[in-house]
Amino acid sequence: MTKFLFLIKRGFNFFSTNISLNLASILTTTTILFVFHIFFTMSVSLDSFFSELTNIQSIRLYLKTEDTKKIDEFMKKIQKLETVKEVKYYSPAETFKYLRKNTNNINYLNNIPAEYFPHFIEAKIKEEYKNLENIRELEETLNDYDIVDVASYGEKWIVNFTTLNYSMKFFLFILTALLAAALSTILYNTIKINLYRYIDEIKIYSLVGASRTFIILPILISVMIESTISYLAATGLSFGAFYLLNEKLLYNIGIYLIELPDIFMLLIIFAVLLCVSILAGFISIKTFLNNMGAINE
Amino acid sequence: MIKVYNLSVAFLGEKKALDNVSFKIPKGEFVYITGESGAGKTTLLRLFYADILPSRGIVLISNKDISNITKKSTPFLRRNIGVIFQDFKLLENKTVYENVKLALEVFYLEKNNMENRILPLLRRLGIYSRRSTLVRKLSGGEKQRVAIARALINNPAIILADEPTGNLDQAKAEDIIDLLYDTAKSGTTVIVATHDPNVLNRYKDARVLELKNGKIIKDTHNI
Repeated sequence: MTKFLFLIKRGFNFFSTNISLNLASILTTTTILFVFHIFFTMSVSLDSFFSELTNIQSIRLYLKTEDTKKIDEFMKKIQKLETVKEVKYYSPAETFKYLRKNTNNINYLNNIPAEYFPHFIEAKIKEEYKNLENIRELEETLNDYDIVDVASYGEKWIVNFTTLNYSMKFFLFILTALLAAALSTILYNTIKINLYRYIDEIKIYSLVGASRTFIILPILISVMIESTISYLAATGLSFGAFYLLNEKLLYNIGIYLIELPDIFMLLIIFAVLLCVSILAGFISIKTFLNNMGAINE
Repeated sequence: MIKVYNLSVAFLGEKKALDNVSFKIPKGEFVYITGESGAGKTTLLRLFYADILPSRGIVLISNKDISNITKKSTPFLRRNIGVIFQDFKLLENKTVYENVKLALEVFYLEKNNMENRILPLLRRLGIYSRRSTLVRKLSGGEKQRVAIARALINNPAIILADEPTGNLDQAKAEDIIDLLYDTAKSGTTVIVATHDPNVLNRYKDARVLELKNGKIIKDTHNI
């Protein structure tokens, strides 16, 4: 434990004595992490938004008849279906009323006579059956009834939104990979430059019996400190930017789109960042030591 | 202490630097290794601290075979060997104290413990008053004393000195050799590689191993 603490202290010393060089690296890694945070937050927000859009609550059944007796009987039938939670009938007048209530610009609605609005049954789906497979099955079942003209849940839009969501996730994946590669390269090169500055010291340490752990661990700790500082700065900046965007702009115009990542997600990103940093640092030191002919250990 | 059997070293595309060399050096002996430039003096010393490995033969240090020493074991070998170089191999931008401390850090010693070991040694070597001076401001003789201090600080079993007086005038050179000779008296094996006749003549009773073209051509204490 004492040895470990000794090496941690050396890591902090190594970081502070190279602060001028590390500062440039911190600024660059902070920028990379900031860009990542922006895209990640946008992605999380849009994912949540699309998930809401693609969450199917009910199926609408447009009917061939206006015979209320037949409609009542049909409603009793479908109420008994396992997947259906409740059914409600909307007459043309009720549809008109519903639209007036939920539409901002009602002027054009007022020009349309009420009888032109469709009448339909809304069949709400039970929570446990709200997956696409069950919904498609229910749609087929309902379409088989003679009374039903069209059973619809907006499949086209759901497929579109789902594809859009997947595309966005793929984009984020590519972006994450590219930013991770950029981050690794920066850390790799910063360590290499630092190591070249300390080449004589490393040679002498090696001559007096320093183990590889003695040489490698403090440098890795220095890299971890650098990554932590960059991460905290980037997280703070992006949270500040999104907070201002929400508070000063989006909330005022009624848009509640931006959803900041929770602490669990932030910790995962931090853990991944540390892993990437340690790996880049380790490879950099290893290749450096292996290429350093004077250290034949 | 040191046993060498049928030792050969050949570098790629070159003639053998050491050719079938065998000898033993007991604990506490003061030994000169001499010979012309390229005779194999430095190669021999480098073998002892595992900077290079032999092409053939066996090197035993404290009965441990280091002919095939692993990367993991090398630091432990080096902690028992102090090495002094002609060009000192000191960190010019660090102080005398920091340069010596470097050799103790690998033992993870605490600050007080390090201080208690370094300061008396600096006093003994006559560089205590220069402890806070940057090495680049020291004279050649002072630098060599710092290098000796760094080699001695761990109380190693063996001291290897490769042309330790090469950059020094006659008086300072003798001073350094006296220091190393005294160290051998206290039980440390000291091996000095040199081709300086003045240094060789300083202690007539010291053992001399003379190399030529990688072979031993003279051993004054043939055991």
